[in-house]
Amino acid sequence: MDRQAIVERIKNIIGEAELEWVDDQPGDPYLVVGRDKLLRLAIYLKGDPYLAFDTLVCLSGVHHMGDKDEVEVVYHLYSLRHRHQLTLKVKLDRPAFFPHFYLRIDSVSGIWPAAGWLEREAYDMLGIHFVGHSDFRRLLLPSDWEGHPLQKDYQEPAAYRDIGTSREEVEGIVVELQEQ
Amino acid sequence: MPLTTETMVLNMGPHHPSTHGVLRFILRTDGELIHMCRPDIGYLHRGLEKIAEQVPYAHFMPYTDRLDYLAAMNCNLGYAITVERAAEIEVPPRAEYIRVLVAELNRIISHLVSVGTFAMDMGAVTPFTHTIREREWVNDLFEELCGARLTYNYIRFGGVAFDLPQGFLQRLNRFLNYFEPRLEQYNRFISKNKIFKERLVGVAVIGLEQALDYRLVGPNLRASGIDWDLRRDEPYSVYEDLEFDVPVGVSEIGELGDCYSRYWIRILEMEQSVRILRQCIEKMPEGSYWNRSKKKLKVEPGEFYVRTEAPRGELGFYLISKGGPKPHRLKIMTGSFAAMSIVEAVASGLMVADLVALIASLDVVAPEVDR
Amino acid sequence: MVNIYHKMPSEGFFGAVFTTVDKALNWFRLSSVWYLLFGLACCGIELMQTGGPRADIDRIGSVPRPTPRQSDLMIVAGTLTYKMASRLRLLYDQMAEPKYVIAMGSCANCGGLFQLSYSVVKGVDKIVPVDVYVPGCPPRPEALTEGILKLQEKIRKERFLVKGD
Repeated sequence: MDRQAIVERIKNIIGEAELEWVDDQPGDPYLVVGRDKLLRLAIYLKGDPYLAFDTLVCLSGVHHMGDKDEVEVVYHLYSLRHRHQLTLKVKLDRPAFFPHFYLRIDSVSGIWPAAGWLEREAYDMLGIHFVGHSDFRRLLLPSDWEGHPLQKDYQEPAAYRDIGTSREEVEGIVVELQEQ
Repeated sequence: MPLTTETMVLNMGPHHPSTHGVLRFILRTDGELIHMCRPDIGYLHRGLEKIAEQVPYAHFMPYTDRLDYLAAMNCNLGYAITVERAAEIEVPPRAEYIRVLVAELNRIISHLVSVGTFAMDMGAVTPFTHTIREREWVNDLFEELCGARLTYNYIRFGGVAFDLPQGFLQRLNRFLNYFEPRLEQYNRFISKNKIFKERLVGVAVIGLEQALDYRLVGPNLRASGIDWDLRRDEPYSVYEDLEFDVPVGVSEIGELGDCYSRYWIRILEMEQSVRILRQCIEKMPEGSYWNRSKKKLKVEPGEFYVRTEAPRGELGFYLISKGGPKPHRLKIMTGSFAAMSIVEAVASGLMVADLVALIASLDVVAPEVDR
Repeated sequence: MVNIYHKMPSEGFFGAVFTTVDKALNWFRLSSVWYLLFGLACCGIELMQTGGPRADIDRIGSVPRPTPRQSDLMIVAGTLTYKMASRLRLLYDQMAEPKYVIAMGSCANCGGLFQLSYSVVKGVDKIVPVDVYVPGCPPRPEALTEGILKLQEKIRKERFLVKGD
């Protein structure tokens, strides 16, 4: 099925509210879904015999800090049976007060088990909480690390457990690289 | 009176001669039988995705080498194809053939290391010395091509960095003539070895549904019976013009999806790579090797997801660009990450020695898992 | 137990005896420097190739050992991250004296090309004392062999029994 037919079928099953198909820029198009509809949509995408998205290819978190401070969770799905693909996005606001309270989203690891580790990594890097995950903790960084590195306003700590983070002789080169 | 036993918690720590790199497993075992195995990763997490947001596009190419150092050309190629699709850069035909040539040569040496360390983990140390002797031939070829033995930094946006030297194709041909009988030799003393087969046949079977659920890719997926190869099904570069077969697991020796079929698929893939290389040598066109433009690299704002077939599976680069000189976000999705995540689900009920066989057959390298 | 190190005279008849004993001890030690396999990243592959058939360091006496209790030398090959740093110190402490460390590759020397990274320790010498630095990314087997030969030169000049200079 081509992309328009997939989007039409999704709209017939779930309804038009909180769905938006973005197609107008160079690059891949994607479907923006509201946070509350995500889990229902995921169950249909896997179970429906015409859609049959059996593989979750990639799950990433992206932080945008332009005029709106928001974090997006992007799902790339692929169907081996029908050889078609779909990109889903959920946008979450990140306000200044209690950001961890607002960055919550349902976990899809019960539907696609590949999301188990991918969601842990998204939490580790960006601080997004996935509700309903069976084993939720940091994946790549040590468990007593503070902060989530891929956020755009992340400050590197000066030392981790008494090991300093910088090397004085190469400081000048690093500053040059970042200014380019 | 029944015998009471206790379970113990063992740490197969980050420094271990059998894990492929710095990987850690926490095991709860009852003697030799594993009840629970939990992988703990992140000991080689270098923050490549954060570095990608701070350097211009062309400066990130050496970092993709270090992403999977055994298959550096394939990682370079994946990144180059992503940026070329985003910036709409054309690649001349000679450069495309050179890229496929180096990518397939790199696939051969990556599978050689995999096979050699697999045999070493099973206790046979000699095949490892044979496979790294073969690697030395190819390291010499790569050194005269681009100056480096392991981390090449060879592929550029719009072509490759240097042209093939004089006589390179003849020397490559001589290597292929030397290498093909060697594969037969490996089959005689590793693959058809009775001890090897008894240790691997029927161990850690990963079924079709489970393989799809956990997003296994590459030779691991094909060993479970699914016929999917990006070079044939979503072709990129010049793979459409080349003839090759895609080996898929069959349950001739042992079951579908066990450790032996994952190993056997890699031997068959090496034979197919030799076939592709011979076709590349015949069909190499003349022309320019790098479509180098004088203008600055301009990437359109948008999102691009490109996947290519690296030796360890599908390597996906998700690039989000806002039109500036540096990427806004680059997410790298590798095959070894998924392979590590399936170990917890498959490992209960195995012996500790079978766990070593499972990790070696999934062909995991630590920097691909941690990035 | 009496500590006899650095106590023996270096002049006269006894001086000649003990300096010869020192030189002999050093010669025995430098001819069989057994190294701990500590390959972390890409330099680990070049470490394997150096132990392989072509650039063989077994001919100068170095065999790889998987355990720190049986090795004299630790070749730190690859990038060190904060999560791994405590294990490096633990393994260094488990080695028996006299022990040496070679930092192989630019990531172990100073952090390498990962200066912009948040999770890489910028140089192994923040954790363990290093004797020889081998530059390269990754260093060729010949470069690592020269590093081990330089370490052998360093061992040759050590003094245990005789009062040192």
